[in-house]
Amino acid sequence: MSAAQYARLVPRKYRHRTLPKMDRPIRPRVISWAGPSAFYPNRFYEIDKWYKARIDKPETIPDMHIIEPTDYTKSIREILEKPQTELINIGFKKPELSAKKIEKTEEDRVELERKSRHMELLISIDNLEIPNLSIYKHFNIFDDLFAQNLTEKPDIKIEKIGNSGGFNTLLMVNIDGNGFLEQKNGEFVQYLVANIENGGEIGTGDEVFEYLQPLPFYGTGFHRIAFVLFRHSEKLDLAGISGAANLESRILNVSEFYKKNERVLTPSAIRFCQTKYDESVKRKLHELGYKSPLYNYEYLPALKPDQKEYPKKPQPFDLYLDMYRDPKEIEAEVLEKRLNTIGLNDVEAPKWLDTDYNENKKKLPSWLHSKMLDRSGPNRKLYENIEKK
Amino acid sequence: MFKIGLQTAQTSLTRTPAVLSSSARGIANIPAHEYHIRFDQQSGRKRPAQDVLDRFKRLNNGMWIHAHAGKNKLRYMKDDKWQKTSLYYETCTKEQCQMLDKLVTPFWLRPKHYPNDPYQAYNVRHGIDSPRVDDKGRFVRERRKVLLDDSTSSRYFNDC
Repeated sequence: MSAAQYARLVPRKYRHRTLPKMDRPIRPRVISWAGPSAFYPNRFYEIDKWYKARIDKPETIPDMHIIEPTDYTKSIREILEKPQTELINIGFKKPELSAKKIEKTEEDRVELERKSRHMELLISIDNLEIPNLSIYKHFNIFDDLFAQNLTEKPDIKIEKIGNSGGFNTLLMVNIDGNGFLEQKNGEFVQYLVANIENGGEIGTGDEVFEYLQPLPFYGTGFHRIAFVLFRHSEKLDLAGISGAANLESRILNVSEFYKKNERVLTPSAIRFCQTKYDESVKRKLHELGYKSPLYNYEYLPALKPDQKEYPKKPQPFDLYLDMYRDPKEIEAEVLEKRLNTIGLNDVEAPKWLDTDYNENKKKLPSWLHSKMLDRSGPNRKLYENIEKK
Repeated sequence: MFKIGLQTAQTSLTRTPAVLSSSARGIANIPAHEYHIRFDQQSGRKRPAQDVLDRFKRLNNGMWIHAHAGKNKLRYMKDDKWQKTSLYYETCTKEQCQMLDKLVTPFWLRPKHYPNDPYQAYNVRHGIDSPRVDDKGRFVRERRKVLLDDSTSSRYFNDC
């Protein structure tokens, strides 16, 4: 406000002796959506541009949560659930488990809660659900109790169903054990006994495939072994399937097998377990005249940045230059080093990486010393005894 | 003669001169005669900066390397990663390399070869295709002293 305006507006009686300092109203300095150009001082045209920018801002409506009237009564689980195709139960009726379930009243709950707080709560074994084996599996009870128990034929008992005749066929397959996936598609059959009479022992059936212990190869992790029991009223003719000693002949496509005998077979029970590699697998494979294969994870080679003639950031010179050297050249260097150390009759790997560690630690440049001690990468070949393998 | 050459190659970076190791030598304590290019009064020739020769090594491809600065300071209070990376010998930047080249005599810019040299593998660089001659026709990296057209040189002289 100028002095003249002040004089015009305020009568002399109320005027201050000096012109009061009056600021113009503050306008916002930062409006992110308007950009800095909204505040360029331009006294000649569009003086209220900064204000216009605010007016022109597009109105945004927040996303509303839309409630479908038809889904209103459904729970969130039902809404999110994917539509599932109806499963056909092709097996027998599941027997009712005789686990006692005690109804608890509100008073019982209060009492139980009090007991639990005072550490007096005792759990009755009778009221526990017996076939809940997850706790045993969690603590590896079975693994440690019955280690290597798959080398011998498992003791399987089949429950008798009714008094009528009929036959059972037991199939034990390793779902993850097909080592001949390129030649044959299917699962690895460990054991196949057909035509076991109702209520009879396993031995009474025809042993189509002799029992062979599961062979999860080294590095392939856990294998799922499934025991499937089929029931059929007439005897099954398994002429097409022959149980030779050959491992490759043990591969059977179970779904195809079932499809072929769909009219006769009804799956009636299934159990499964998991196994992983141990020493017995190697022993068994050697016994059968195979070599025990080793599976390792193949990592991708490490990414490397483009080489700069002079890297901006200081780099460890040996590692940086090694990264762009020809790997063959590095291997040749390592081989030369190795051939220098070994004699004609003595191809043993050195017992110690560096016998003069303390001396060398002081004397050698650190990059050279660490290269000397390095076992990884191409230097691994210095210590691996290739000739002995 | 070879023995001496080998020793200088291996220990020039690791060994600190006895005189210098006794006193703390920060950036402020560098004596004035060391941050100039000095010339010999008798012959008028350039004298190499002895400090550069003590602390740095020049690979034959023109790259200077040096130990990590302050690697011996307060090691006990620094972390494991630093304990490891501080031992690396680091590369210099282009500007540093140019400066260091000027601080030493042409003798030290000549390619050096020693028997059983652990640095031998790093004397050439692979896979660099930038021009090896600058705009004034001077060699910017070591190479065979034949000036060829680009296609021939990239075909036969990849390493430099």
